Amino acid sequence: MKRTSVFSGAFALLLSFISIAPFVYVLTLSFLPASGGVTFDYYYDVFLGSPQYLLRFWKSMGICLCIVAGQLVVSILAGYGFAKCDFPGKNGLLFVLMILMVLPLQVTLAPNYIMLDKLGLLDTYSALIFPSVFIPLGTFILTQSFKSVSDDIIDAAKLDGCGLFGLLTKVVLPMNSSGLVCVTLLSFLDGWNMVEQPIAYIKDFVRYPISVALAYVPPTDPTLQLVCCILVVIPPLFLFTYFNRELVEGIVLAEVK
Amino acid sequence: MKKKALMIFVLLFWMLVACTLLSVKVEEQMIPQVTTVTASRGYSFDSDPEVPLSCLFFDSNGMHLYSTYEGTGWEAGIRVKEESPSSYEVGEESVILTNSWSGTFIEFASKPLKPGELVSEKRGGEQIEDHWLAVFSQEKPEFSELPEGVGLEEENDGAVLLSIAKAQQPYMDGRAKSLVPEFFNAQVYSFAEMRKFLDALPQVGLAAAMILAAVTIWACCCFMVKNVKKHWVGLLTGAVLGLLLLVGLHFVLGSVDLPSSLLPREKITDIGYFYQEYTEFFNALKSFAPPASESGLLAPNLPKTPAAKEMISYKNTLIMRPFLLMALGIVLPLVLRFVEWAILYKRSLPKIK
Repeated sequence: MKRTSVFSGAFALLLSFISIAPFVYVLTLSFLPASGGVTFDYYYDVFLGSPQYLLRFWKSMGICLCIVAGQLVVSILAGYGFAKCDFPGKNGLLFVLMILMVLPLQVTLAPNYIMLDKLGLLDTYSALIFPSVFIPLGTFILTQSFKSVSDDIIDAAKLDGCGLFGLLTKVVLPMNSSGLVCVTLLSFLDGWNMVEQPIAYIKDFVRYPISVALAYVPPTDPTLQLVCCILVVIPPLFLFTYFNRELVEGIVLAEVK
Repeated sequence: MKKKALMIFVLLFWMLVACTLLSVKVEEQMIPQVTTVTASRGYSFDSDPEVPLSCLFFDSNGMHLYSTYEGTGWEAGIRVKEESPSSYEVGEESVILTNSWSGTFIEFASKPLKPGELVSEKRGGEQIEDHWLAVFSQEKPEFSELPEGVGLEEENDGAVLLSIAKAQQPYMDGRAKSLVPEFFNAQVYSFAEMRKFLDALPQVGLAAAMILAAVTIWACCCFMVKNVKKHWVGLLTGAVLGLLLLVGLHFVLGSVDLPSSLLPREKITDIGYFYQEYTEFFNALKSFAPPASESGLLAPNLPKTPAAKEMISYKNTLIMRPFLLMALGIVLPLVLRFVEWAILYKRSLPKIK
């Protein structure tokens, strides 16, 4: 027993080290320019010298918030429908949703491109926001999460005169905050880290989110790129630090069901 | 743990917004202002294109000729490119371009340039009455023949003060040196630029005070967040003040206008550079004053020229304001915290009827 726990601990430590090492490497090298010595010059360049990095950061943040808001609305309504409403073909639709979920992004890239082209949305921020709003993972997680709410509670709320909106906001969502946080986090990270979609749908460099623009940072000194990486890592770091418990609970809940 | 993480990231995001506002202003201020000329052919069609001699820039690394190009991607905008010394020859009256057929070349710049740097092209500009102070580190030349509209006001062994009837704005070192060639080895300062710098100091101080105030409020909130129920009013006030300070910072920064010629070449945070420029300017001005022994006063006199006198008095009235504002930025939030504490303490006392 003791031997197993020591082995597990050592393995966990090794895994943590492997995960943290790249971040520590980036953080350390961001102070060490190619010319030698220790400098804060690149931090000055990114955070104070020029607004282009921070403005792009906020632009990406805006895109992500739109994606999160849209995906929450879609996932909550669809998830509630799948979990608590009976309609013909429900199981078939859920099955299709699960298949869509496991499809690689590259498969849907071309159809999405054609649709966005027909809608005249190519080379706009909407081209990044709309396809991401309808990613099925959120609906799947919330469907599983809403299934944990007892039907008796919902019936009781309905008897008390609660409408659909009241039912969602006062009963179902407060009982499933972990699932909600999980969807928020995953959709935010999905939007924050998107690379293929902007490259496929956007031509104008000005509209590229920071995840893509990072690759085009002037390669005169890689240290500048590393400082940009530090900037990019701030929002996910905050979300994980603040919501780590809810995230784990949400994922566990979805899996248990 | 959650509260700590929240507080750290609140400060981080506040700082990121503040840095965004600051960086917009810093870039706007730090971009060198330049005037450009297009290469022209002489009298004959088959001759090499030429640009005026004033397009040559001199520094400790030698002679430079700069042209402009349009950058793309992260480097979008008009940028500086240094021409290779083999691509031009210096003639008696102009610079002859041997390797290029056309292009836009930088004639004057508000501060020293470096290749790849973003520049702002200026055309026209108003003409104002100004004074130029030249400080010579080497031997001072004779100012016997001055151009029309330029008058010698004061001079001593190491500095000269000239009045300029019509000085083209914005002030550019090269333009001043092309008008008065004796300035070649001197560090030249414009009174209009220095006044602009002094005018901007209170706003800079106010911006710094706002940042300090936000950090102080945040530090106070870190203590209050341990008991949210008790300190909810203080926390709410802190949050509202934080947002108001951001809005205020935006407006204060909007009113800051620093003179390009007095800004450092690399970083605006180079305090040592500002101190050096400021000290050199005012030491040179004070050096025009007659020695105290002549007037019989213990304190050194002011220079005789009204413009120089006025500049020193103006500096004396303004110089402490930024520091006072910064101190207020720390003290006021602490006072606010003390008031909140006093109210809570008074409420906690038993009421005796």
